[in-house]
Amino acid sequence: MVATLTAKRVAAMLCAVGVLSLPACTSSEPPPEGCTSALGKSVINIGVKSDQPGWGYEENYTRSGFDYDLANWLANELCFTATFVNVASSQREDFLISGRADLVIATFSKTDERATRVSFAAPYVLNRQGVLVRAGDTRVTRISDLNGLSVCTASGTTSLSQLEAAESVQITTVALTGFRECMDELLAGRVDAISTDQLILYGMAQHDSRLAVVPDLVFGHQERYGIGIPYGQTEWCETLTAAIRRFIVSGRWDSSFQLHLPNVEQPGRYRPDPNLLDRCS
Amino acid sequence: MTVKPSPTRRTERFVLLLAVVALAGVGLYLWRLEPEEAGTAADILGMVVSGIGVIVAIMLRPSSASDDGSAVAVRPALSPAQKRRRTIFIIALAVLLAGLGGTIWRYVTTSAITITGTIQLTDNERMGHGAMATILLPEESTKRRYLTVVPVITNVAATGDCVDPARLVVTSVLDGRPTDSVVVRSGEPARLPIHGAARIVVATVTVDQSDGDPTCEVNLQIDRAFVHG
Repeated sequence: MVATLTAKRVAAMLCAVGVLSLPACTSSEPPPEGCTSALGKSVINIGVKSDQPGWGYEENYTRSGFDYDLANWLANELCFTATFVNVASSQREDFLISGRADLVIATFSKTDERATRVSFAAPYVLNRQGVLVRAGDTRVTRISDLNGLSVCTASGTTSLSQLEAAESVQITTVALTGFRECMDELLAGRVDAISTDQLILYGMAQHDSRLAVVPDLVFGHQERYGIGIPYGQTEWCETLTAAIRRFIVSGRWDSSFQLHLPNVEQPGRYRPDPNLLDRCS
Repeated sequence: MTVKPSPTRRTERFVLLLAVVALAGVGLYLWRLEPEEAGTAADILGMVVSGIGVIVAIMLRPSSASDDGSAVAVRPALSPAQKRRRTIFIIALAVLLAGLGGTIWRYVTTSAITITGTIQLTDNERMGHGAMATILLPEESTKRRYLTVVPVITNVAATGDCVDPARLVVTSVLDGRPTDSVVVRSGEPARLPIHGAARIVVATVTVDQSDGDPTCEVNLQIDRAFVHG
């Protein structure tokens, strides 16, 4: 037991210092004997976030979050061993294209533009872009209130494009590598707000009570999270889409959402209709 | 002892074999064709059938030479059994040719007419949820019974998942009267009846994003359009 824990900690430390050539930072439980992988590979590398509380978060060598739950559920359901690799927002497509990750489950919004380079099994979550401020800051209630303020977001995200496209708003955007850095900047008072998908912001606010999501302020396109797959892997897409449908219908979606994002009201608003998932082509 | 066929008979068999291979080739070609290419295929088929008809006529010509190649003055009289076989053969050939003629006629009158380049598409840019574009079809469209269009949409923004979740409601409007509707996704063919139109055939395409993102805006193009049937 001690030896296992030590091995896990060593692996996690190596991951933390960026030794990503290791096959994995952490792994799921291996599938039971006689269970054959529905994806044709017994070990699947999955790119996950490590800086998004509620979604993909790593602290003290322990991972948690809705995306992490989904990945583990898929590993169990589809009979493979998942090995987890930390991926930044800007790296998600590259990891799939280069083969460093077989799948990416990392609050990865499916867009028509991204779908020309990678494929998606989608959607498993629906939401829209929102705004996070320091608790007690009442300056922002509408999108136009962001005029003249500095707003942080992560590079390589749809949030940055949507902030820049927001009509009639002059914002100083600060694009950093990850949301952990954005949270630090906001708490230090060096930026006025963070803007990204509202559900990611709820995870941050839940993690640190000094932060608060601006209620009822959403803008931009609907963000439809999907499982990123190497381009053209139609069979994987079909298998994973069917699995997402079971994840929703079985009630696992609701229980996982409640567990990781207990402060979000009306979770059903963010749950896709299992009969209206995207086709794979 | 095996009797070897005469050189003339061997030539006829070879020609017949060539004709069968040509027919099989044409059949395979037709089978692989897209519907709108069938008009061209009818011409090709007509030519091949005509050629085969000529070949058969040559094979059935009254012989002026015996099988061994020596000249004969008069064709020998046929036995009653030979006459029966020849009559049956001629009737069968006539039925076959009539059938082929009918097929060619059907192709000519119902074959697809491609109209992709002659349609007029309006209100097809920055289409939000519920927006409707109009396709005005050329007058020759009234010569056929069905319209097939392949609508394709593209997202106008760099963000958003707008194409896959969208449904496109394609409706035929005959002489100003909406008739039938079908729902397709981007890139899928929509087939609509258009018979009964006296002069003007219009199709409308309405973007339905109710299963997706209602904030999406898309541009619509018609990848292919043809009338047929």
